[in-house]
Amino acid sequence: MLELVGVTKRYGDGHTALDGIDLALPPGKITVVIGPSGCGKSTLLRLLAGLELPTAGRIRLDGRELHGPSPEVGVVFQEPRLFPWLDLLHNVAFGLSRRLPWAERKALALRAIERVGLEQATGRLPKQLSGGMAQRAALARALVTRPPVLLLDEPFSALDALLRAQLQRELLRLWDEDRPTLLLVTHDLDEAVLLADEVVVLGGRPGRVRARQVIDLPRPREPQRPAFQMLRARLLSALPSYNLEAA
Amino acid sequence: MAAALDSLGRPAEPAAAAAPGRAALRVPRVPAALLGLVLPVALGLLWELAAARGWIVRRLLPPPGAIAAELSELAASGELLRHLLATLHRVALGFVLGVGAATLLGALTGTFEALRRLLDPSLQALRAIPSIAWVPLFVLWFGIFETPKVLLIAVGAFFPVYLGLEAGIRGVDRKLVEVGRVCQLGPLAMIGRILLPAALPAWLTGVRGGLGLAWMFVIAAELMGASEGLGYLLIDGQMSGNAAIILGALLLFAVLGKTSDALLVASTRRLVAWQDTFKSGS
Repeated sequence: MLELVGVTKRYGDGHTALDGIDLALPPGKITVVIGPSGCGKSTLLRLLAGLELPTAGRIRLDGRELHGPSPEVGVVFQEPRLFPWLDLLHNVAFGLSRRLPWAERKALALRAIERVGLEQATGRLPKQLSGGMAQRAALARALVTRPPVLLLDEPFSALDALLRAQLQRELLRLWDEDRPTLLLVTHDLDEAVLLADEVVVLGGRPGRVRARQVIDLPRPREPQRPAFQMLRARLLSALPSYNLEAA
Repeated sequence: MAAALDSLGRPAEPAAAAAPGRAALRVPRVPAALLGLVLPVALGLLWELAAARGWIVRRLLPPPGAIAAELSELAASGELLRHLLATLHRVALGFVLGVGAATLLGALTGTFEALRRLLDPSLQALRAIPSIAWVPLFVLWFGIFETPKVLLIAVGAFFPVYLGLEAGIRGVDRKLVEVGRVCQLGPLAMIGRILLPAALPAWLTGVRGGLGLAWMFVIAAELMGASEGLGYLLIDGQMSGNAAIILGALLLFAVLGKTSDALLVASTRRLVAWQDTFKSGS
């Protein structure tokens, strides 16, 4: 269980991004954090990833306090962030410990590449991958260690609508295979209702938890269904009204 | 990373999509290589003609034919090879030493802010000393033989490499470094697996500059007193009033400098082929 207890993040310039956040990510579930831009949702993910430390409060993973990145937490960023000098195989294998022999790392990386459907592009450099392929590669790199916790920071926001829908479906399939605890940050309401077991609405400056909404629709979910639309409307009304550009 | 976002989600072959634009800008390969020879060959012919017609003083500006004759005479006696090898040996040794030291220090100061604050001001101050100014001290310390020459060349090659690598590492995308942190890399792995590969193009630019300076400083080193080497040939030509030897040595410097640079570029091209840049395909 990954949890934040009274977490506040204040930057050196005095700007407070998050204020007194209490949040626990239920194991094996998908939690989606949604909120307008600037509400601190990316900061929340960076804290959980161990890339930043809270100014006050604690972040705990299975009861142990986190003071930095953990091997049990995988991260997919908004940009693919592939290493341009490594081919796809080596980019995906990058996440694996060098203590493992290369043959073993290679086998694990190939397996992860297969899981995201890129097996025909194993030898390609990032500059030879399309945007969608590159983001799949980033997903494979995070999945290769099979981390019990997976954090995704607006992973599909730079993709076109068709590709986004496809990758959302694939993410659900991948999640279903080993059921990691998954946290996804987005500003896309439909994405939130489509994927989440629970949606956390962040808002305000500094960011606080404004609302939480359990989504108990059976999967696969149909965005045209009235129940889907009703939940979407409920979330929309929970979002701060001063900044709806992202919704 | 921005490049990956350009072709959002398009399943098209990006290499194929990029090709037409580049092809339009590229001059066909073989004529391009020959094109560079047009000017020197034309000048040489004109020069030869001018000397034959008596337009120039042959003693001061001997034509290419006379230079070639002088060089082949030196080559036949084995002298030329000896001088060439002496110079090449000094350049190679000094260059490797300078590049090695610069790479180590540049990697350290580029990576660790505390080390940069500690070392960089002193190194920048040393850089402000014209490298030739070290000669008297090096001679005093190490005598007049090989050591001061190699050291001078090393000093010359050091700074472009150091500056290039240090700036290259500091310019590495923070986002890639974060991936390294998420993957639990320690400081050494961070340097070896992310910072150095990412800074490799900047390092290579510095190495190229360093090689050019190594050639520049080998002359300075050999002019300060040598019994062999191309710099010795220059002095020898001046003393004996033989302009053909001087011009021959200059020509050899041009050929060696250009060749070593071309070899460096060709041997490292594969290392930076991953760059997704304007004209990276050419």
